[in-house]
Amino acid sequence: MKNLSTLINELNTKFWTRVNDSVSLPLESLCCFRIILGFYLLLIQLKTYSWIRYIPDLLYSPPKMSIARFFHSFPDYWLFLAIDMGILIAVLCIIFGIKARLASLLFGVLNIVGCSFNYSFGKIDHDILLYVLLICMSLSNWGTLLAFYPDKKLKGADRSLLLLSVLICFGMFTAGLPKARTWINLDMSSSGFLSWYFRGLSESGRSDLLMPYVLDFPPLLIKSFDFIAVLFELSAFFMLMAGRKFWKLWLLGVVTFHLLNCLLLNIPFVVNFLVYLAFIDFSGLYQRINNYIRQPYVKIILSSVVFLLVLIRLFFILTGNKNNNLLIDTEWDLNFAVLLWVVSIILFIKNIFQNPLSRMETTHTVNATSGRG
Amino acid sequence: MFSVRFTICLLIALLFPFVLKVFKHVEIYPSLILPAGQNTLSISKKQMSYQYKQIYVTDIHNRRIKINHADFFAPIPIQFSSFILKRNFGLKFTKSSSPVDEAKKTELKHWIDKRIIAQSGPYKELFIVTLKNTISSVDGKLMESKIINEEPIYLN
Repeated sequence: MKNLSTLINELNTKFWTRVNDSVSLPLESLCCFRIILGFYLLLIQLKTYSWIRYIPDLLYSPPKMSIARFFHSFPDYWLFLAIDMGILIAVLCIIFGIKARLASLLFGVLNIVGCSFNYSFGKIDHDILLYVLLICMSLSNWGTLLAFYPDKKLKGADRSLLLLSVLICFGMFTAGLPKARTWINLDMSSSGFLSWYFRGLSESGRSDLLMPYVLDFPPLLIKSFDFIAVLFELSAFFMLMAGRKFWKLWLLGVVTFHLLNCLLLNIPFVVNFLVYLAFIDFSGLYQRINNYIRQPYVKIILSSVVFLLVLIRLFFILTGNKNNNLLIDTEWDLNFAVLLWVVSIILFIKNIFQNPLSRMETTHTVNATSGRG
Repeated sequence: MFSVRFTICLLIALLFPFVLKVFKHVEIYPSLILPAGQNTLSISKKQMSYQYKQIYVTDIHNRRIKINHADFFAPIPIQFSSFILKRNFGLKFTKSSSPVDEAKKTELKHWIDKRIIAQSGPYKELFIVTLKNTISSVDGKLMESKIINEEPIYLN
């Protein structure tokens, strides 16, 4: 019995050590990523929920097992307003590093509550990884540097990325396994890829970018998409366990996969952009950001930009406007998604050739007192 | 590193919703499940077909007008539209569900009226039409669009 317990313990340690070897990043990288994420959310990806209250109650059909099941109809406007305001405050705290750990948790939890009602129209969308990312980061030390009100350093906080990577792999596994049962066959008369193609065509009526040319592709190429998608989704765990280089390659693969989905199926799915970005080493930016935010003019410009963005977001919340992206109009979202995935491909290619250890050594020599911006 | 207990709890917390979805087709929210979309499309012949639902109204001159779903459902995301139409705007109820509340029905009617009038003016009747489109697998051109079912929606 004791032997079994030791064996399980050893296996557990080996597993997490392997994951750690593949994903660990310097703390400075996570702190830079926190600021990038905060601005990205504020500018491009801030969901609001106040609009739900204006929808008739007869359309209310919550999932069988969800927080929304405790309600008989859409809740009061004030609940949604409180969620929206809480999310906005959380994003501000994440950007400026004001108790960022708590703010990340608040952002994740409030969005999950909001989404429980958002997905009460009969369908659940699968953007949960963004909130998983924020909840994982609430276990990290990403609020200890480049912060106005830094968090206290926690021991073992580097585990946040480990947990996130395992959750991403499991998420991919849940997408790949059901597909493997029906898509992996040599029957050229059936196609999983085309099932997505026609569903998109009938639901959104969209046929942009390379979508009109898909049916001109040779049948063998179309069939190969089924195999590639399944192999790719099921390989996440193996690549994570295989080591850092393989994990980085898989991440490059995943952003390329999203770019192809965007071009061929018009599925932008930019919500996962930040989730993958967490594994890029941004520690090279740390010193630069640290120097910049000490300049008074940078502080004034930054504060003014954030103030303006917050005013716009407040206006959206109070008027029930659910536009997530302040940069572009919804009709341009596919082009924007293409741009985003191309940028991430470039970042991940750069990341593959980056040596994290040398970077870690240089960044850890940074004066510990330079945390306060 | 994480303890064995944490790893086991994590495994259970992740696997339970997934197993429930795969074997019982019940999805818990929140749960860490990504879209599988494991359906396949038969392309055995030189054609492919798919079904979808579409809102139509008849105007005061008895002309049938197709409603643009994106404008009609906004701000509800367009991907939810087919699920709302499957339930006939919540008016389709089973034996076990309670009858539709009149106040809720009136609220729905005002919501629908506002949206249809903004698109096509006053209307007499509202239908949810199930269509089957057949497309050539050679050049992707629409070969046939057939009405499979037509359900009038009574809100009065």
